[in-house]
Amino acid sequence: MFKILEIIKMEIRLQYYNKNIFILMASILILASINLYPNVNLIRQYDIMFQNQVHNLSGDGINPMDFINKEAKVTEITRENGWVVSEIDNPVRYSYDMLMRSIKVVAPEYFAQFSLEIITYILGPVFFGIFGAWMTQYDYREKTVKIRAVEHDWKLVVLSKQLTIVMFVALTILLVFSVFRLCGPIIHDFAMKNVSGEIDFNLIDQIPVKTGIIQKILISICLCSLFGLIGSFLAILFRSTVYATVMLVVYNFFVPNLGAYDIKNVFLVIGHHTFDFYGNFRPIIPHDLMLGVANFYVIALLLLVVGGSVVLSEMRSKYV
Amino acid sequence: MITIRNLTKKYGNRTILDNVSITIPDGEITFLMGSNGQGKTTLIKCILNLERYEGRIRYDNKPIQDVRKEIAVVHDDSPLYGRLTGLENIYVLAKERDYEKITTVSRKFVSDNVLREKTSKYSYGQKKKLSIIIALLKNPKYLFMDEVSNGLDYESVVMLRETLCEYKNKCTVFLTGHNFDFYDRIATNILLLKDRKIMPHVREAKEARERLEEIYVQNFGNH
Repeated sequence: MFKILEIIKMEIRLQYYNKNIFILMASILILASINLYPNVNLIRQYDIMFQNQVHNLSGDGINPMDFINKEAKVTEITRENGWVVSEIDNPVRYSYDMLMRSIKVVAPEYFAQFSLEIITYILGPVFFGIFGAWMTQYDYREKTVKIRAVEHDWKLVVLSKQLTIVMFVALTILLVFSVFRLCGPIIHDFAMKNVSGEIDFNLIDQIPVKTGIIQKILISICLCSLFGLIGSFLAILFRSTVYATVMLVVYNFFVPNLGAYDIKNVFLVIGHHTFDFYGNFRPIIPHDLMLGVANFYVIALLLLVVGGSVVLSEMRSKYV
Repeated sequence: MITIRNLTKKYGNRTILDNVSITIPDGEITFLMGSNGQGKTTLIKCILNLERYEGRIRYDNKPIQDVRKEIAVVHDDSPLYGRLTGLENIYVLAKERDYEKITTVSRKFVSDNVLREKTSKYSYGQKKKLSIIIALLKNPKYLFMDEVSNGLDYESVVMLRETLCEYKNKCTVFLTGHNFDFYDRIATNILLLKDRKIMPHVREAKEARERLEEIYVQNFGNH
């Protein structure tokens, strides 16, 4: 245990000196911040839609509140060509709900939570995956493996590197969350400039969220760490950061959901039980899979990736 | 003292080291001599557990797992972290943070300014010097150096020679290389690696002792 802590300390020092961890954190922070703009646009669109409907009703001499106070029912209908369309019986209330939800995304106490969705499902799998691959490979690339494998058993070094990856993933997510939480009021003021009417914020607070903030953060760290470890595993398997990076990018952005046991699908199943997806990011509905099975799958994958990396690192290296 | 017993190393069907048994004593500078491709670096890698092998290697009767921290190595290609400065490489690889202690050793080989540059900008010789500094700062009990004098300027060669003579009383020193001018004056224990076997070479009396070049020519010919 002491040896692992010693290696982790060295890895932290290395990342601090070569500034990679700062690059990772800054990239995620900047890209997650950019996500504010599509959300602001969404608010603008829903606001225009809602105001138009209110204006039309008022023009016809109808009190819009009669519709706003009634629930909107959304029915999904599958057409002959296989397309699924939604039928809404109360478009005014529907627009109002959508506007409220989009405003909730930029509410001071919520923007940080909703940013976790983007980090976990868009940025994290690629950025943390590449980071994991890089963390595992640099000692091979620089040939410093010849020095470090003398100092410590290489299996222990690989295990420690993986723990460091998890630590850095957690640190990055917590940092980005904290920055967005602190900047919440500024983000909110900026976004609300696009709303023309008066908003009852009590109604926004009534919009339900699926889980608490701690659970969201933990799930986000867990799923992003898993991609970091998968990146590390791929880098060991192919002895290359480039191959691992290409595989991660292609898999995440170009390969469709392959079925119930595809990692993306499993993550989405967990995501749909954890996150609310009220913002501009609306992931596809995953193939059916029980939450318990999805959780077990993630744990099994975690063990497989960590164990596989340790075993493979010895088999694939020229020196250890 | 490092004892090697019945060491055999093969790459596929090709035997590099065949049932080698030698002792690398304390208080001496052991020099391993052999022509290119004979397996000098492979032997070092086996001793350092960087290669799988058959046989038994013990450091003062202990396995390498018990003495890892007491070993320092200077490899021929001087691996360093390129995106880090020389000083940062020292912090990470030698785990030494005491600046005075660092400069006491480093100033023998490089200026303080060089330590502040990224090692990706270093020349081959500067990389070699930094690797030597890192190895010495570890204060090792077992010191291995592969082709250590390659790329070093004259002043550094003289300084390294003096430093190694100091260190031989503190630790077990094991060297390999081909720059016989450098090793000639410091090697006190000579091992010859030939035909997959290692045998000790007993030098004649000091006043009339053979030069390493002569030993090499006698055993390995002119090539």
